[in-house]
Amino acid sequence: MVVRHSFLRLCSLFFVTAFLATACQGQASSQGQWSSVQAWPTRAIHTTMLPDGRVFFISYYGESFDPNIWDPVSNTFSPTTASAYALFCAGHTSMADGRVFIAGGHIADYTGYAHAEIYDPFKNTMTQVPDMNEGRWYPTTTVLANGDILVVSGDVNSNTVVNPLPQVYQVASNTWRSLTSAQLMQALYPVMFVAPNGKVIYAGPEPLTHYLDTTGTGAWTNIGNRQFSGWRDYGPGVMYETGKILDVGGSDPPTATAETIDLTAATPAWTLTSNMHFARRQHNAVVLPDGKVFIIGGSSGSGFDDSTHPVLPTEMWDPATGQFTLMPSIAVYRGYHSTAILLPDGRVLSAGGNVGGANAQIYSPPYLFAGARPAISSAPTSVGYGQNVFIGTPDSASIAKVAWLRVPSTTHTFDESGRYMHLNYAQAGGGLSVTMPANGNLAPPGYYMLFILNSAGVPSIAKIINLAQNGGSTGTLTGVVTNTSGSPLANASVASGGVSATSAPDGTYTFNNVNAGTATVTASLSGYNSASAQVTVTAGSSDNVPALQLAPISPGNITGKVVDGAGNPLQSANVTGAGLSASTDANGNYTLNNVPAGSVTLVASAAGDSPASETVTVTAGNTVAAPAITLTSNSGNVTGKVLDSSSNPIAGATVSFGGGTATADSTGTYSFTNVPAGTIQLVASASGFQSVTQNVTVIGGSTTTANFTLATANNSPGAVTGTVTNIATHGVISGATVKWNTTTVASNGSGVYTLANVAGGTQTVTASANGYLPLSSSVTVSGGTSTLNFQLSTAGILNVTVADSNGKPVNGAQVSLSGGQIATSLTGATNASGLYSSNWIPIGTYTVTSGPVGESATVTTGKTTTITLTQQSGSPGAGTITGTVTSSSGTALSGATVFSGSVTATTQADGSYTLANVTAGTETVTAALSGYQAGTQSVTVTANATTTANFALTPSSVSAGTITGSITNIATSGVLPGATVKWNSMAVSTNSSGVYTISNVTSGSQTLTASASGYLPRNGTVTVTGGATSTLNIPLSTAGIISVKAVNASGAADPGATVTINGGQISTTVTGATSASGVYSSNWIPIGAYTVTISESGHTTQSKTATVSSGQTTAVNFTF
Amino acid sequence: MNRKIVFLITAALLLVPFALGQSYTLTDLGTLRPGSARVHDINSQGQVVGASGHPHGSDTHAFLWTKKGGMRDLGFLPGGNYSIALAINDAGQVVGASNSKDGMHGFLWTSATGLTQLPTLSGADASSAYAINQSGLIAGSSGGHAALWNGGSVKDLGTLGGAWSEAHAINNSGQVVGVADAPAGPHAFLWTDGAAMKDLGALSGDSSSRANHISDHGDVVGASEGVEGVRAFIWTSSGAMQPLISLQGGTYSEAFGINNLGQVVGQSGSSLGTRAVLWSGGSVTDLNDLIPGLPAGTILTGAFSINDQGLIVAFGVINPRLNKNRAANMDDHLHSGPTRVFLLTPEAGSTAP
Repeated sequence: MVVRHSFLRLCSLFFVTAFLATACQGQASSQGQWSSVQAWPTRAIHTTMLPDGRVFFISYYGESFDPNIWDPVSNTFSPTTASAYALFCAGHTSMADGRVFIAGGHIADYTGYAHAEIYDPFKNTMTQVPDMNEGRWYPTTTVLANGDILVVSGDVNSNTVVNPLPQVYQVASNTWRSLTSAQLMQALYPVMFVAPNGKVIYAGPEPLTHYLDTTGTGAWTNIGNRQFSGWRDYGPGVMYETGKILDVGGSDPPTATAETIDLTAATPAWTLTSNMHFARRQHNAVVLPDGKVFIIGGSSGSGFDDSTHPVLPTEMWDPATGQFTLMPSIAVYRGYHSTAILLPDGRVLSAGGNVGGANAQIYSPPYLFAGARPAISSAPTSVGYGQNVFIGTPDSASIAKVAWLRVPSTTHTFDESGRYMHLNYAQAGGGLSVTMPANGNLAPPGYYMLFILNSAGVPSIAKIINLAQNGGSTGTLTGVVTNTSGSPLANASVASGGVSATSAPDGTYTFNNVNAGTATVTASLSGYNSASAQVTVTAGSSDNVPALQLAPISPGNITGKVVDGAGNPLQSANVTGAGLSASTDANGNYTLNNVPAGSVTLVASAAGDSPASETVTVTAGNTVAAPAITLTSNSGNVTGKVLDSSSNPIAGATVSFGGGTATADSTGTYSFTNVPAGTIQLVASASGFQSVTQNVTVIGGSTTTANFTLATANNSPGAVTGTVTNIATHGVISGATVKWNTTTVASNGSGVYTLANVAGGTQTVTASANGYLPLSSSVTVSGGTSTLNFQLSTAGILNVTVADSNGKPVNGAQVSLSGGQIATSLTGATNASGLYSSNWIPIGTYTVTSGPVGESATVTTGKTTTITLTQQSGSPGAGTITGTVTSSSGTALSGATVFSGSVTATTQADGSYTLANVTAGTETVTAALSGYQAGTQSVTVTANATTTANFALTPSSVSAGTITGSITNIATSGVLPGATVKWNSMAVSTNSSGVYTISNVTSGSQTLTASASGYLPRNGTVTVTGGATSTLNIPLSTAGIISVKAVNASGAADPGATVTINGGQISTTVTGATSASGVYSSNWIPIGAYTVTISESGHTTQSKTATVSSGQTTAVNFTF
Repeated sequence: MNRKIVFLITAALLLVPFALGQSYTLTDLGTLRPGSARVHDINSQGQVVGASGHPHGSDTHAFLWTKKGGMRDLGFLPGGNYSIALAINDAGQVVGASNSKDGMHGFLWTSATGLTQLPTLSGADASSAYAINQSGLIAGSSGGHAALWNGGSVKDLGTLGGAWSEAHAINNSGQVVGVADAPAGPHAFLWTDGAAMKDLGALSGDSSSRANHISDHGDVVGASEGVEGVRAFIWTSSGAMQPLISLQGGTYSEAFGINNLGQVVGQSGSSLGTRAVLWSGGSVTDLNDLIPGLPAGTILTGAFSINDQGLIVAFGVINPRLNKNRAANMDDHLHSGPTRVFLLTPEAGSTAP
């Protein structure tokens, strides 16, 4: 109280006005602002953020069995799929893939389920996983660096007490691993975080801090004791920066102390930070985008959950200074069973509470009153460890901080999922290049709210990004750049985030490795205005960007003509300039319209011609006539004669080069036309003559002459000799058989063979040896001795089995082999057993392929090598499902949810919907709308095609149930006959036993209002099941009034003092300000004991107790 | 059915126990410090053991309560700061579990020696002691297996084929009961020296069960779980496993203690909430209805042990807003607020039900 007093005095220094308190409260830019209290259907006791920013919450089991989802954008509620058992009292966290892991649950007080369940928000399904070793009631769940989930603590039952066995849920295998060497009795809902060293810190409420090594069978080690020696039960712990933890308040009686530990220090130790202004227990702590920690609610009273000592003022802890600053008060007590989380828009949700907590209040921190917010224009949906990712923002120059927070999952004052981390970044064109954390110890995989903050500390609205274990994901973008007339523009510079490309002559471009998510693509070209388009990039697939149409700046036109070297018009020549292109007509004329003003280089080209260019200057609004462009052929002709040494023509001689072969005619003349300009190598050859090679330069549009004179070939017989060796070892092979025609010789001890008297000309010789593959080779014999060496290879067999992704053999699969010490290529098909066998082939390494699947195999001497190629199931691609949803009578239904897998759409006013990027294959599509029976059908989706699925939904026959209960006087427990109970337009009266019954109530969560003469009306909520009777007892309270009068020391009325009245048989808080006459009157409130608090700037806050009695006004007077 | 008739029947049922049977006086055993307490066992001397601390496991210390000395803190094993006392024999030997410098360990406490750490099974590094009989044999678990300590030695009682087991009770014949992984799921077991661990099965239709206590006659009590929820059972060698009936409106019940007269204590859900109950002679009774002097605002929610003199230890809540004859309001902390522990002593002149 002393500290609060000084806060008020500080205010008065700055606002010396008559309405000090009001002025101080009004400083939203320094204090932020609370919304009014909003009624919620139930208490939000377990509160988890989903990947889409909606809030999943679980209520008191007696209040509503089914979890609910609150959408902070639309402020609407929608119950989820029901759980098979009560999830109240479970531990929960947001999994790596954004599903919600829920361990344990409520059988009875202190008795927990051994069950664990996963809520899938993408499919709205609840799936049970195998049971844990024993029950857990109030456990803590922690996502580990690899995405597996540690579960600790939780009561088995009232007799066995706490479950001491830590267990790890292994997500991939859907199994549990027990840490049998790490059994420890822990308090319920212990504070646990993955630490930078990969171990899990147990940071409270116990005063001794431990590390849990979750590898193997687990092990605990001690870090040291906290500074506050008591147990901080129901005091939150938050990781406000990687490895840095704040433990704040808690214990019984509550403490105002707070302390931090830095696990990145050489010797981590707890250090006290400044104290909170209030001792608190059962409060919540929320880390904000700027790294400050916001403290909400709790009780300053002793005992478990003392709602008679609520701490309504909030506080903000600044890690830079270690100081707590008082912030505005909440309107109602938030104690046991209350939760608070940060929302993606930077506001803070405070909800729930055991005592009258079916409501919420939302806080807008001061940064939301500090000027314009920076905006994130693009961000990937998924990122990987260590990646630099592009975050698009038009505000990059003003950004001073990038930070993200793992999505929260809070209950019983502890967020089991959330943690804060600043991210390093650098400026990048149009945004920021942000460096993702190096590993899962620093940031366990999962969904994170990424904020960018400007130098004024104002955060953007968050983008929720999945930090994926196996590297994020990127996609490909393709598109086209045109001018505003639709003509393609070449050489435009196209950029998206950090990636850029240049458009091709047809205006197209392709980007690879674009971060999945929303991307902005911008095209620019000199002389044109830039243009942008937004597109969704899908990981692992190619998306099309809408055409980027660039408007020319001050355009004019160009006309001109293209002619050939002879001055004749050239038709169909292509002319480009300023990114535009045109084609010439039959007269060789062309026109380029909408050409940007300035100097334009025109390039004309035509098949077979060398391109040529002209430069013209375009002026706005005028048509410039360009000089004619002359194109000359880019090919020439080659001709000549092939003669013998006596200058006689050699008819039938062939002349060849890489582009073809020509045969000499009877005059020995050969010719080639349309030979590309440049140097070519011609070879002339004729039977009985020696070949001649000649290099010839071909000139475009000209004919080059190249004559050949061939010498007569010497066709005398000769000898062939050589060595036979092993190709692998280079060793000689003696006794090898070398054969020409019918002549056979054997190699000698040095591997040398000699075939004498081999006919002249080109001859084929074959060498073979035992254990080697035979080998044939050619040699030209022209008298004398020619040399021909053989390198033989030993052999092995390669068996290739082809299987599908399920391991089944594939019949008829094409298999190709290539490789070997002696280059060998083979193809074949598998048999019914999926086998292709190569027969004997040279040893060595082969590349073996079957379709896209390839592997390397080594064949060794005399052995059979077997390899299996497994066909990939392959990316099936994606297609689109479209259709309409109507009622069974044919009326279009808008707002229906249609989904297939994780792809979801909402129908338009005409009932139409489109689901894009649905995985190809047989898919189930479901259409659902409240009031109708959901429709499901199976459709076949083909990649890159659209499939139609229309739905006609049948209205659901709303099953009705009955609610019964008694209306009693809360003070006397006496029944109230004749009380009115209302549901919608129905109203019934209680009978002489105070019992009411309402039939035909729609199933679902329903709210009733009970009222009786002399009593305050009161709402109650109950879940109605079709065909069943639910019980809802509503105790009512009689009412009285508290009238507060404030005077100053001289007895004059004191207006503008803030009065808070809290208490009552039905917990009630009202606040107001004293009037000009110094009076504040409560209106009718429940009877019972109240605490009346009055505060005013510059004065000590005063409290008095008062009792409200039925029909009475209780006066409470204060003197300042 | 006419509401008035229901009321009359209910009223008659409520009146019957007082009219015909046993009644008890209530002793509040207090707490070690302001806070909460749990209770687990009573011996034939009327000595009681349990644990006391803040609610929900914070600052929890094992205690021994005697009529003469009141509640006494048994402390921790070295390096620990969390302990619970789970059983006491007539010699005043107390067993339980305490965290120590290297994890959780079973302990034996006597007034002469204080806390001594029990050895672990080979290869294990943790243990917990749940029960001790008159000859000092201790049953519990070590490294995920049911264990039996005899003097300084410890024996692995095995499992029902799965990986895990835990012993919860031992009788004076040395028979041990608990829970062990069986192929169908965790099942109650009975271990007798020289025989294989016996699977006691589960109630019809249920998938799992656990045994919490065994009398010297070999009668076993515990709970069985399945789609119908968690239900208390009694197992006898002649009658196999039978459900124990719940209070009206209850879907949860569990039996924690049985004496040699066949009286069973535990918890049962009811239309008014969870209540401490006594099963005797085939009927179930809310123990709150057997205490004429039950203070206003006190509700007993679980009973854990009954000795052969009929003394019962139970826990419950004290809150002036509560009334044993109506369901608690959601705003109240019956659900999980501080718990208190009580001794129920049969009133002279009343008869066993």
